[in-house]
Amino acid sequence: MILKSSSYFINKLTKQREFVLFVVVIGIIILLSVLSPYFFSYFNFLAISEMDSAKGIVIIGTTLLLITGVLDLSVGSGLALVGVVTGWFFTHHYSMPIAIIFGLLVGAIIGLINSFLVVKLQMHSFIATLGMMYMVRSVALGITSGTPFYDFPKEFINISKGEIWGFPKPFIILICIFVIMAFFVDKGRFFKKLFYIGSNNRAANLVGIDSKKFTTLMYVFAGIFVAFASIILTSKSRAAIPAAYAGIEMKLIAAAIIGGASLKGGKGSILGSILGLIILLLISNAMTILNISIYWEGVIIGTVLVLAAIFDELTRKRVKS
Amino acid sequence: MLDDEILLSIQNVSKRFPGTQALDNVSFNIKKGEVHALVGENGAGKSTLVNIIAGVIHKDMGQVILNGKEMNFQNVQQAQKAGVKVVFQELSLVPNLSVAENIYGSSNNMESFQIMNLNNIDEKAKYLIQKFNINPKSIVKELGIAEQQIVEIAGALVNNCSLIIFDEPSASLTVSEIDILFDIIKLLKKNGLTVIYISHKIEEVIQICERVTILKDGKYVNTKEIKNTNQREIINLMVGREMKNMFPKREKNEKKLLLSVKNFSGEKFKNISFELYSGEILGFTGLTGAGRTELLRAVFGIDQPQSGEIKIKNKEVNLSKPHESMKNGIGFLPEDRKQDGVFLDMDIKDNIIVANLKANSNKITMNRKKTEKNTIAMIKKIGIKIGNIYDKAISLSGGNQQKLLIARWLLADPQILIVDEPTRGIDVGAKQEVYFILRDLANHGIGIIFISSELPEILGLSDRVIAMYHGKITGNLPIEEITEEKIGELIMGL
Repeated sequence: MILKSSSYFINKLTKQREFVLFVVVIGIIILLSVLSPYFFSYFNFLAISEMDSAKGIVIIGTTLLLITGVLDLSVGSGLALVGVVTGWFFTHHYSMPIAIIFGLLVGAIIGLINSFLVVKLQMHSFIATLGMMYMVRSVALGITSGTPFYDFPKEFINISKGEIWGFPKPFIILICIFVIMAFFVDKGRFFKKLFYIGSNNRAANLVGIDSKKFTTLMYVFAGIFVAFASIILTSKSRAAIPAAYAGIEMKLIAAAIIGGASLKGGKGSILGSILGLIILLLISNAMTILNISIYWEGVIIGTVLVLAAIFDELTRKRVKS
Repeated sequence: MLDDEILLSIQNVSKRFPGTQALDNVSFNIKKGEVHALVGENGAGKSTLVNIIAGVIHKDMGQVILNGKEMNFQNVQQAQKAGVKVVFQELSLVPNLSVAENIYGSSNNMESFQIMNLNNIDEKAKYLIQKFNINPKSIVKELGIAEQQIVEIAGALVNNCSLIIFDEPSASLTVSEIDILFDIIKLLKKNGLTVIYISHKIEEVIQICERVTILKDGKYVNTKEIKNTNQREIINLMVGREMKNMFPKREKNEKKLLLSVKNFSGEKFKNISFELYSGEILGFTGLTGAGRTELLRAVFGIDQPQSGEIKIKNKEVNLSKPHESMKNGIGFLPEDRKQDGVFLDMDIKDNIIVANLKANSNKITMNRKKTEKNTIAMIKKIGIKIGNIYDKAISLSGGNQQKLLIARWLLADPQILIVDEPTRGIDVGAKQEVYFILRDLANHGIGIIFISSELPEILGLSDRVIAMYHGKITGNLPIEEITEEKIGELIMGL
């Protein structure tokens, strides 16, 4: 049989990571509501938390890059620098559109430099973006001499304030971006090419998929997502802190890997990454509710990540034999 | 055969993997001091047998008897201690260390904390590397593949090895390196070692071996003295049927000018001009380094030429990127199937549609129905043996992966197809299928550029042959005017 009619759906359901993750998320939620009467009220707060919505926007870029087969470690530094740059424009009394445009521009430029190092100079993306992580962070600290910007105009703070249909604005923004991106990454012809590049870069070039062009584009995309998230975060927290968000990139990569992405490239989905992120957020949330010291969080996150890797290894072996 | 003539005796060995009987009750003997070939199609069980002999995997049943003693190697180290060394396709050297360090490191007698005295390499190993002019201080990764094989064998000699098994040793070697390999084998034989030689290339087997054992579908077929058999008989035994008509019949096709390349120059080729017509198979041959692959990579736009022009149907075109060539109706099957061709971790369907994503999508999203329909149509047309189009490409055999790549280009509907060594590393039956597919495409009006370094297939399949030597065309002849001798001279630049 060349095509079993059931096989497509089997692929879509049981074999696919998203299904398993979804079950895990539901499982954790049920477990937590049994363990703690506070969970549902608290969970409500968590699910619609503006801070985490912004992380959800960033992980879209992280996932696109992982599918293409490259890393971006400069995410945390980028979040800080974009905030600082918009803050600088506000404290120097520029208008809001100027501040936001320059913020987005900084994100795009960071992506452009990343892609220049990786695509043009052929550096390994780990090294290139590790270097950028230090440089960008240092620029953010240098501009501010380490002191945060606090004075933001009301119109800027209003960006993240308020509700639409009873949900906070950032949450609605995330859902919109998420639905669009999840659909197109799964189904779109443009994004399909990323999977080919990640799976076999050289072969992709030989069938007319320009891996350099796409890798560059994805770094710029990811940079803009970072900038966008940073603007929401800065608006929400009413502060641009140059030392903030350090190490967030590792958590996002971990979430994407739990969600089915691979450091080798060619794998991953937006839905999977978001579910991976939700699992990590639920875990830290659960620890707070259950009164477990936050110092133990790493043990659990690490365990989940390793379990995901073992799961991958087992499915890979099954495919091979 | 006397018992003391026998070095290795395989008796009733069986091995089952999930889904297949890899070896089924196989028995035969290897004589002391002989060069014994082991041949068979992909999946015949050669590699499984070698892996059992070498202790990489364990047999289910049967006996492996070495020098009259039954052996049950648990791992490669035990096999090496008993004097059995396998030179696998992927060599087990440490690329960043020197030749001497590698040879030293492979010694079974090395004490853990002994200080390496690199001037004091084992005599036999020293003899071997000196014989082939290898500097013991060279870094291994800077050597050619044949030289690396020598280093690996030298390491085996240190351990007083008595049986050396070569697993497809010539697959990644150039013509002159194969000569070196044959010299090594002769030298080993002269020194009383026994060699098992596994290869797809029957010509090599006939050249270097004394006896040949044929396996098919995990079963023992026959063992023949080379002097009492010939290439044809061996192939027939391997395939299990009479291999008549290895090559398809040529047909008179309508010829229209498709491609003309003029004064094309690059780093590895100079001032090349040639034309390709519809319905013909144009063979490109030459030794490694003649510049064939480099030339056609530049034509397809993978690498940039320094000068020259390309016309398609008498219209000048700019093919500086693969996607531009594809727009102009050119397809390219690369030489290195795994590295440059197949997306191993992606499914069969994705592998087939990649060169024509547009035809398998709606405006901006992929269309599953079209994709499945097109994929199945191509698989049926080319005759690829697969389980399910949602299986990963890595599950296919080499021959089927090659057919997958042909199917990919067929779906892109090219007028010109460049195929670079399309039968490398695939078995005889699959080779024949590839020849017939290519001829069929030509009969449908596609112009095919067929690059190969194997003269029999160049002579058997091409309508016209271009020979290259040192980046220059030394001959461009219709097949009627060609003999093997003539081609041999042209590719040697004589």
